[in-house]
Amino acid sequence: MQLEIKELYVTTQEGKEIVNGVNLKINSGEFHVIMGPNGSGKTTLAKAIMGYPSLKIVKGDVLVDGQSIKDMTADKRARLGLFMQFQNPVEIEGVGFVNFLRAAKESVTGNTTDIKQFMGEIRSYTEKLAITNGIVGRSLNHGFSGGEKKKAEVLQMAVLKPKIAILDEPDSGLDIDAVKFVANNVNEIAKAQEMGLLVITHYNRILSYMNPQFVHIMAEGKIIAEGGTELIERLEKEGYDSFLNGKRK
Amino acid sequence: MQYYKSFTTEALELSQTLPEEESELYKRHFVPIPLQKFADRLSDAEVEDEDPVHAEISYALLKNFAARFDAVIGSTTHAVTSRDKPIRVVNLDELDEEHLNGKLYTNRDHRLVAFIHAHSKRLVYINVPDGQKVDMNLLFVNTDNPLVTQVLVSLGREAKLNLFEWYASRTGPQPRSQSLMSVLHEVTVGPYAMADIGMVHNEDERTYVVNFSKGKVHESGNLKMNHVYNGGLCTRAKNDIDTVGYAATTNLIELVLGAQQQKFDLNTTISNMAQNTVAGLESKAALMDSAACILKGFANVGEAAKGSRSYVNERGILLDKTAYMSSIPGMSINNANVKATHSSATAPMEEELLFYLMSRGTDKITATKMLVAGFLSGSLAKMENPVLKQAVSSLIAEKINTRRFGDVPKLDVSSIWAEHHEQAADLFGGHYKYRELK
Repeated sequence: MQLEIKELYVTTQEGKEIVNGVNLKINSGEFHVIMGPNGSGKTTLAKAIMGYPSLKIVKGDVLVDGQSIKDMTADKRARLGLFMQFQNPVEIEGVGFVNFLRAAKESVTGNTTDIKQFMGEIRSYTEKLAITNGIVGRSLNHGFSGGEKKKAEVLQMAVLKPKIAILDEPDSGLDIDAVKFVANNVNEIAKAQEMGLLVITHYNRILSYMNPQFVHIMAEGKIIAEGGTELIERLEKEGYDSFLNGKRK
Repeated sequence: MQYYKSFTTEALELSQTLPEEESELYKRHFVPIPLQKFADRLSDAEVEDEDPVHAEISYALLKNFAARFDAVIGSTTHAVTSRDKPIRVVNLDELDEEHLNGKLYTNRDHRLVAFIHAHSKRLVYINVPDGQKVDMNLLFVNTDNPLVTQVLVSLGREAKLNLFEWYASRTGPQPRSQSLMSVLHEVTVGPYAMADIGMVHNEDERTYVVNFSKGKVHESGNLKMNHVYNGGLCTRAKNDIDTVGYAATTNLIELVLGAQQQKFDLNTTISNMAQNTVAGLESKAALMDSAACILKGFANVGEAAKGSRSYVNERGILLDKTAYMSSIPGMSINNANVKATHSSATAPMEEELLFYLMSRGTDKITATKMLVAGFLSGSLAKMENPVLKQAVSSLIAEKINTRRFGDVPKLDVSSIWAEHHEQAADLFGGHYKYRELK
């Protein structure tokens, strides 16, 4: 599967410009990273790819295998094989985690789930991710700690098996050990499922445990630099200012 | 009979002269019921044989929910199928003064009460003797013939009653035809007795619904009432439950699922009238299309209610921009040594929640069903009757799938597959504005 973002301009419903002409191509099996300072439009770009209804694509397109998906609702995009890990997953009281994940799996695969097999799959990932059983027996993200939420997102990704996953700040709110743990698991799951990854982050710490092939620096709604891991090293030494040529607001 | 005749003569007069809403608080917030339209039609039966309709609905409910009915009450006919249960239906011409001993309502209580008193053709009596335990299912069906009935429930000392009631209609097909489902309950719970009464209103779109209940709970008695309002064109409900005995408890849950042009007016007063009593009201409405709902919960804590607890909790979720909700919780606290709290919140369905669920592949309808089921889940967790739970879950699915109501839904319990136990905590846990009892 190929995800192509073509000259994309995104505004809020009120017309505030956030993404200003982004071009990007991601194939299944590739590992891309977008780095950028706060407010550079990274999360908006991720949400626009996934079809967040309060954002307007005013120009450009989002294509999957050459077909435009910009008029599709989020569920249809997910069924094509896209997944977004949320920076701050919402808490939904009363919606059971397993019930939800089962419905999602059935929607994505189009098949009825064998509940015994499904629970076995969940159990295998909860063990791998060191998720306590209590989490899967609770309401969706309700009362989860920051770390539990991130792990629950990875669990969903593992079970739903997308072709391309967008991870929006998978490291935020995690302690040093947890960052390493989550990164290793994402690596392993993505590799095993030949998943394409687009990781959005401010910091390079999580990337030291991962091995991205393509690095994109985003600022003021645009990709301002592209390359390999050498960009991460430059960022580490010089910060975002060096990419902005002193234009940072 | 003579006694009843004078009673109904007074009722008839008051049903025409009392105001539609007497309370100053609610005068600007109520759903009117066109009584006169139905009063004129009560004398002539438009549908002569209701039995086939009763049989069809009973069979569908039996098939879908395994609910077997002990009695079917129709507009003009009734049938009691269980001979071994303490229920009997008394026709007007058999009534005497003794039959009215269990009555809690007077004609002057409300115009709609007077109307029901004036036009009831029969009374349903459920008397559970001391120490006995009874499970009972009742089916009420109105056709084009309006249904007007009184149900008098009485539990003796340490008696137990699980009563499940399903309300259905079969009107039309003429567009002009509108009908009425009007039922009045009077419930007396004796010392140490326990009554769990669940009602599912699933009348069709041509039926007006009037559901009035008055209850008295005596020493250490417990009355649970779970009202589910899914059907009906316009619903006017009024409940007044008093905990009159030491350590008596009452908990009411009202769930509303509204669509199309449905209107609901729910006015419930719970009263703590004795020491160490508990009275709770939890009302929730999920509204689609242009449905409108007014929730008027009121808690009255009496002077003698030292050490009591009371809460009123009203919640609404609006699934469409054209839906309307008005929530008017109120309290009157007349004793300083009580815990009492009330709260109210209404909001549109959060776009973020819907987006999150849809981003995982679930379509909008499934995601909406999940959110509504989640919204109602804390209340569902408190309902013990499995048929009631299944019915509510199936009604949620049916309503969100089709935006229709009035037919017996197919069994769909996916909405109650979630884990409810964690939200079943005491509502006081969610409130902080009460002072600790010393």
